[in-house]
Amino acid sequence: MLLAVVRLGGDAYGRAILTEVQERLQRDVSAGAIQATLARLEQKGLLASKLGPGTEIRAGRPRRFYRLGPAGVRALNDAHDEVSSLWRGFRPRKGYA
Amino acid sequence: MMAPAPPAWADTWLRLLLPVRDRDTVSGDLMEEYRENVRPGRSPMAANTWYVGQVARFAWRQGLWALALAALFEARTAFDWFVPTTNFAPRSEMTTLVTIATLLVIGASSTMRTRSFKAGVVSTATALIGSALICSIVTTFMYWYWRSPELIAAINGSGGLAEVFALPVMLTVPGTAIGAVGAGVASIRRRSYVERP
Repeated sequence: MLLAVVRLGGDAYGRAILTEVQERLQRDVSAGAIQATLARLEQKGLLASKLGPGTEIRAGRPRRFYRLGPAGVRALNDAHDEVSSLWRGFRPRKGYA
Repeated sequence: MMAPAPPAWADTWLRLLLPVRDRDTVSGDLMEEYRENVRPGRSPMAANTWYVGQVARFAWRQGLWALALAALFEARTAFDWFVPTTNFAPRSEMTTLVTIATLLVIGASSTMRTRSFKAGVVSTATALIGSALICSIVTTFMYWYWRSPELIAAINGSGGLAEVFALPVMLTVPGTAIGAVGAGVASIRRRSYVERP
């Protein structure tokens, strides 16, 4: 989810994040699940949000845009380091694929 | 031409279930997806079914409460059917008190989570309607699977089959009122926290 917010940059709002996550995971994800996760990450201080203007297609309802907070950047770097350390020293051999 | 719109009742239901701060943004996201991606590629009925399905997935907490209430009602039914008695008062007191407590908790917890009195009331109503649906299915199965002269005698002695089906439905209105009391108490408590210097 944090990666999706980073990838989307200034366009990271609910529906765009949902689409990004669905494309990356290549499976259907409910809007409710995404919304609950975003709310939890914001509550933990990993994400910050602000409201943007609504559009006609949204019946004038505003968008909530998300961006990573300092704690979110740290969490993302930590997660990257952990995954990297797991793969360190591993050389794929023929026949593994 | 007017833009296609999802069912108004489902949109209202979604908005009432959500925390106040997310009502416009989340319902707007779903409306945008419906109009841009879902509706152009599907029939109105299929698109509306998609929308209602998405809204129902927002109500998973109420679904859990519905399961809890249904488990309570069905446990009472099973006791009355398989452990017959002539004195129903202790059982009635127990189930009534536990049901009232559960409904108060549903109303209060939903209001505290969403900061909305209306959400507490709607959550309680949703859980009660869900539990009535679950109860009707489970009761039908229990009756079909264990049907015997002894069971029918026990059912008749405990108020009859119609009562078992009707009670969860009849509970919807007074149960929602009890949930509203829980929601009201939670609203007052929240306001008193906010007003504290």
